[in-house]
Amino acid sequence: MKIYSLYEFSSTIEQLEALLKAVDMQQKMDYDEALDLVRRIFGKRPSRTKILLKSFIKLGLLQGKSQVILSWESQLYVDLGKDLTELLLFLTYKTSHLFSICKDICEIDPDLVLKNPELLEKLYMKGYAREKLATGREKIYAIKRLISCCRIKREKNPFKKYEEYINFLTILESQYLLMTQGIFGKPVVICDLMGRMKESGIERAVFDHNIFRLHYDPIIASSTSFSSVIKDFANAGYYKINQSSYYYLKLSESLAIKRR
Amino acid sequence: MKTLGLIQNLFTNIELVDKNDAIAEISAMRNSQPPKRPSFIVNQEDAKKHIVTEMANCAQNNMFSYIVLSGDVGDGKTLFLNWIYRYFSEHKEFHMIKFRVEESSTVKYSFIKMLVAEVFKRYNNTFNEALKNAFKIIDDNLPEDEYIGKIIEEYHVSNELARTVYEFHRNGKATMPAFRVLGACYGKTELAKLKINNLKDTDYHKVFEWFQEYRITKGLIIILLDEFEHTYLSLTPAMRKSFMLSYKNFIDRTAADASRKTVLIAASTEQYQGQLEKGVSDIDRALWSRLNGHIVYLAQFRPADDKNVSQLFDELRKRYEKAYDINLPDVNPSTIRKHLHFKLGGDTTLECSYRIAVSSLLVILEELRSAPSSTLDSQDDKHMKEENHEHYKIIQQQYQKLIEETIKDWDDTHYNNRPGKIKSILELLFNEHKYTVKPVPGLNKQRVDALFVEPKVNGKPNKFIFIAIATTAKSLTSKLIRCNNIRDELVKAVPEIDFQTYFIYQANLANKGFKLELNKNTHIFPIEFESEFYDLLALNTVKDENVKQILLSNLKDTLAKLDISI
Repeated sequence: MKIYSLYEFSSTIEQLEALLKAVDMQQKMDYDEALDLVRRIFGKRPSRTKILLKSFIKLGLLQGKSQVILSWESQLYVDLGKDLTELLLFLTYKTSHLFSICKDICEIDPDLVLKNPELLEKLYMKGYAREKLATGREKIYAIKRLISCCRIKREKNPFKKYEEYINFLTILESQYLLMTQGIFGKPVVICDLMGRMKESGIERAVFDHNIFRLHYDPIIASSTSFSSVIKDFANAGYYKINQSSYYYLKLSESLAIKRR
Repeated sequence: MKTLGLIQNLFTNIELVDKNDAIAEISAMRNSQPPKRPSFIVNQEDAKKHIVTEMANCAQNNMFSYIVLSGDVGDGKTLFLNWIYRYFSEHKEFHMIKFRVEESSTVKYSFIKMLVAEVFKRYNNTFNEALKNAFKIIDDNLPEDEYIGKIIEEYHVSNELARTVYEFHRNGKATMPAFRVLGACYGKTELAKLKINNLKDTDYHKVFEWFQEYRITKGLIIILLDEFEHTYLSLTPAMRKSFMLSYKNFIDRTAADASRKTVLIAASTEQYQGQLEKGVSDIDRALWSRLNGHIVYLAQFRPADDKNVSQLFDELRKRYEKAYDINLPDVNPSTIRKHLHFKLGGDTTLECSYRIAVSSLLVILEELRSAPSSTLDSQDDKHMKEENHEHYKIIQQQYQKLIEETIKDWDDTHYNNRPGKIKSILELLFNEHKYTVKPVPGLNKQRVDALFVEPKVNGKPNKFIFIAIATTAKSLTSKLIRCNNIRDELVKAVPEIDFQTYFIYQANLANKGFKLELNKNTHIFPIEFESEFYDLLALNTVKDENVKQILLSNLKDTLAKLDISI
C-alpha cells in the first residue's frame, strides 16, 4: 500500500480555523480569491499555496472547483463553533488509507520525534510501498502536520480512540436495531439500551463517554434524537447528559460513515 | 377511478394560498398549534407513502386499513390528521369522522360509542337514512313483539337494541329518543322513555355496521382518532379496559368483513409508548401485536440537512409573504441553517420536532421582515453588526461550554493532582508575563503546591506562592499555617533571598477562623478566587483566542494582585 498522497497541511488548528471562518464569511469565493486567502493565512509561496488548497479540498474541508465553499461538514463545525480536531478526525476516518497511516505513525512514533527518513524506513518495514525519498518525505511532512492538528488534549493516538468511538457506534446501532426489530426512526429507552450494551461488554463509563461524544458530534448527531417523557412514565429511569434528562434515543438512519 | 386519483394526490401541497388561510395558518403556527386547515406538509415521505398505499388498498379492495401514527410531541401527528380531514372533507362521497380520546359522560369511554356519537353528530341525516334503509326488509305492520323478535332473529342483537329500533321505526313519541339512543347521544330520560337499560358495546358495533352498509354514498369512511395515548393518561384502569376492548372488537369485526371500506388512522404520542404497549398487552396481547405492526413512526426535523431546512423555510416563507403582503429578500439556505442552529441552542445538531423547527424559522422570518432593507446575507453595516452580535453570542456559548467542561474536569481530577493543575497554569502565566519560574530555594524536596518566581525586570519582588486546595474550612486554615511554616523555613534556610509570600485559595471555604488566622499573618498576601477560579483553570484548555480574552478579562483583577497585568 502506498503512503496516502497528502502533500501539504496546516501546521496549527488555529490557522485552519481562521481559514474556515474567513471562507464562511465570504462564500462563495472565486478559486483565485481562495488561493489568496490561503496565502495570507499560511504564508506559503505560490506553488505550495496551490497544493495546500488542493489538500483542503481533497480532505473534504472545502469544496468546489471554480468557486470555493465550505463542505457540509466544515459548515456545521463552523456554525456551531466546535473543536475542529473532531472534524479532522471525522474527515480522516472517511479516507481509510489516510486514517490507517495516521494511526500507524502514532503507534511507531507516539511523540513525533523521529526524523522523516527514519519514520519512512519504519513505515516501509510495516509494509508501505517504497517510493522516491523526496516524495515520501513530502507526504510524511504533511501527514505529521495533520496528526499534530488531530491531537486532542495531548492524546497520543487520537485515531485509535476515534476508531474505538466508531466501533462503539457500530455496536450501539446493532443493539438499537435488535431492540426495534430492524426499524430506524423508532425510539428506544436509553437505560434499556445501556443494559444491552453492558451485556455486549460495554461498561457504563465507556457508554457514558461515547454517548456524550455522540450527543455533541455535529455530523453523527444530526441523524439522532434524544427525547424525554414525563416523570410518571419514566419507569426505566432518565439518562442525563449535562443538564438534560433524556428517556428515548432514536436513530433515523444508519450511523455508519461512508469511507473512501 | 376518481377515488384512487384523489388518494394519490393526497399530499400535494396547495400552491395558491388565500390570504386569510395564510394568516390563519401562520397565526396557528406562531402559537405552536397545528393549523386546522394546513396547506403544506414537508418531508415525512415514508409516512405519506404509507398512508396513500393503505388508503388506496382500502379503496381498491374494500378492505379495512389501519394506521397508528407515532411521534414525539410536536412531530406533526395532528397536522397529518388535520390535513387528511381537510382534504377529504371537500369531497362529499367520503365520510370523515375525527375525534379525540377524552373524557365524555355520554359515551362512557367506549371507542365504539364515541365513534357512533361522532357519526350521529356529523352525519345526522345520512345516519338516519342508513338506519331506515337497514330495516326496510322488515314488515312495518308487524305487531311490536313480532317486529322486535324479527330484528333479533335477523341481526342477532340484544332485546334492548331491537326495542330501540322498533321505537325508532314506529314514528311515534319515542322516535327521537330512540334515534338519540341509536346515535349514542342520550341520557337517562331517553332510556326511561324507551323503558330500556343501557345498550351494550356489541349493540353499537351493530349500529355502526348498519351505517357502513346502508348509507347512500359509498365512499371511504375515514376515522381519525387523535391523542390515543389519553387512554393511558386520563382514563382509570376500568375505563381503559373498556375502551381498549371496544377498540379491539371494532378492529376485529371491521377487519373480518371484506366490504367495510373503512380506514382508521390513530395518532399516539410516543412519550407514552411503553405504557401503550404495557396497557394494551395487559388487556389483550393479540391486540398489541396487531397494533404494533401498524405503527408508522413520523420522522423528526433535521436542522443539519439543507434540504429539510430549505423546504420548510420556503413553504413558510410563501405563506408568510402572502399573509403580510410583503416580499422578503432572498437568503442563502446555509445562512438560514446557521441561524436555525443558533436558535435551537447552537451546540448540537440533534433532530428536533417540526413544531420547534417551525417556530424557530418563523422567528427568523420575523427578523427578516423587521429588517427589510438588509438581508441576512448582505455585507452592509447592519449585517456586520448582526454578525458581530451573533459572533458575540457564539463566543459566549463557547465560553459557557468551556467553563462547564472545566468544572467537570476539575471535579473528576483526583484531590492530590489538583494543586499541580493550578501550578502549571500559574507557571505558564508567569512565564508569559516577564517572570522566571524557579525551584523553591531552600527546600530539600520540591512541593506540588508551591512555586517560586523571579521577575525578569527590576522593581518587582520575588514571589513564593502557596496553592491551597482544600475541601473544608478547617483544612484551609491548617494549610495557611503550613504555608507560614514553610515561609519561616525558607527565611531561615536562604536569608539572602528576599521574597513575598502569596497564599492562593478559593473564597467559598474562608470562614471566620481562617480570616482570623489570616489577620495574624499580615506578611502573607491572600489571593482569593471566587467564580474566576474556573476561568483560571480553563486557561489550560482554551483554544479560541476570543474565549481566552473573556477568561483573561475575568481574571484581570485577581491576577493584578500577583503583579500580572493583562
